[in-house]
Amino acid sequence: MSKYSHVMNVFILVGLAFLGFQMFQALLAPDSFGQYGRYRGDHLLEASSLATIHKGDDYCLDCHEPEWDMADAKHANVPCESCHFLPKPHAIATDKADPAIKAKADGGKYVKLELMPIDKTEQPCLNCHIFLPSRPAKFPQIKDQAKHKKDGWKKTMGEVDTKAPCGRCHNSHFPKAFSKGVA
Amino acid sequence: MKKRKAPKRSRSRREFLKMAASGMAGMLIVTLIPKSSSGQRIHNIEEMKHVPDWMDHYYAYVVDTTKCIGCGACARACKRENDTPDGYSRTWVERYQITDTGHVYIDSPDGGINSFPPKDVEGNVIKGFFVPKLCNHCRNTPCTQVCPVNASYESPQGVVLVDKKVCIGCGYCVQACPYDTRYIDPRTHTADKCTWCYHRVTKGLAPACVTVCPTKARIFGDLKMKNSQVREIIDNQRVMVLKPELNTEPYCFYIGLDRAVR
Repeated sequence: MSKYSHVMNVFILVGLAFLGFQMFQALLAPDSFGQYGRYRGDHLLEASSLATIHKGDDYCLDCHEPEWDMADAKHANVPCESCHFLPKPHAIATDKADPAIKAKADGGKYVKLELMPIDKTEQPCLNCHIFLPSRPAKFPQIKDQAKHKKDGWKKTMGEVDTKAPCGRCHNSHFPKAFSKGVA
Repeated sequence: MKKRKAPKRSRSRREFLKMAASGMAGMLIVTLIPKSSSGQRIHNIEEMKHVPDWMDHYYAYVVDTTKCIGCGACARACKRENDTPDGYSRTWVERYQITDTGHVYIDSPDGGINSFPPKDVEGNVIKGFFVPKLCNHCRNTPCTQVCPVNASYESPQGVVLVDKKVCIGCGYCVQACPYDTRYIDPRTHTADKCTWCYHRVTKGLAPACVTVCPTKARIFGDLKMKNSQVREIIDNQRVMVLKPELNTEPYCFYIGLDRAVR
């Protein structure tokens, strides 16, 4: 037995421990671990491949730009999906073009599946326009709803109906112009 | 192995020290091997080809508190986009009302998801504002440092993500986050958090909350793009981060942050 045999034992033990660790890691660690860093690299793919729900304005404007040309309107910068939301696909691209839809993107071939649900109560308007002291002072807000309706209604109709929704006087796409033609 | 005698002791100690030193050096070299090999694999992006230029981004987020009106569209959009469980939200809006008596009233009913009902406070409100909150995607992240299984990590684009297949739901990261942006999803019993809508931004879309914000109070962009809006704002305007004293290096910047904001 050489005089280094005791040291060799240590080396063998350390080597075996190292090999054992490598084997355990190869068996237990996910395949892509360490691909981009100390995490499972495939998760980046999985996280990026989830389905998107909100489509963005460009998606809507592919078909609806001619109808809602709102360049001068107060709500021109409000994204469509702030108020409208489609829980199901609203339209899909197909081979056949629907003449009822003025689709122009991708060759103009869309088929409408679901009507866009629209909440016609006051709530979507009040989410932004009810008076709150925390809102920016310059933002248009309604301090007294009853008074607003009373005064506004007198101007337009001459009679008071406090249960009427905002849409009776205001066009939500062109909020400054009154749909009844009264300023 | 024979036990060595006392006279040879000094020589054997020298030998032992020599061997120990060389052994340590050998082990050091061995531990370096896996690191360098993983470094080479960083450039293997063949698998991400369906995501164009996915590596060439470094994202940042700007919240302009002077524009926020507290409508809650962002919180509703986030819930729809990411299907968060009831009662939990990845992003929320806080209402601050500071009265002339010096009191600061802070509330966030349901995270502001149904907007804010008027709230009676004592005295007159002399200053008020809304502060949207979300994961700050820190560079010096307390949450990923405490993860015992490497389930939470920072992606190459600067987005802090949670790998739900690896997460064991211990909740350390929930405790570690100084911004309270994490929660344990009661359906999967794993940690969940804002991902800046990673599935959207890697496809070139803005996060859902940015997409629906009616006053453009939320701005998202790529710091590597020379003409991006976030870079223009961070370069030219006076921006602030939440809890800067914690040195977490957030990449979510705030414009018009008040001293009352926590």
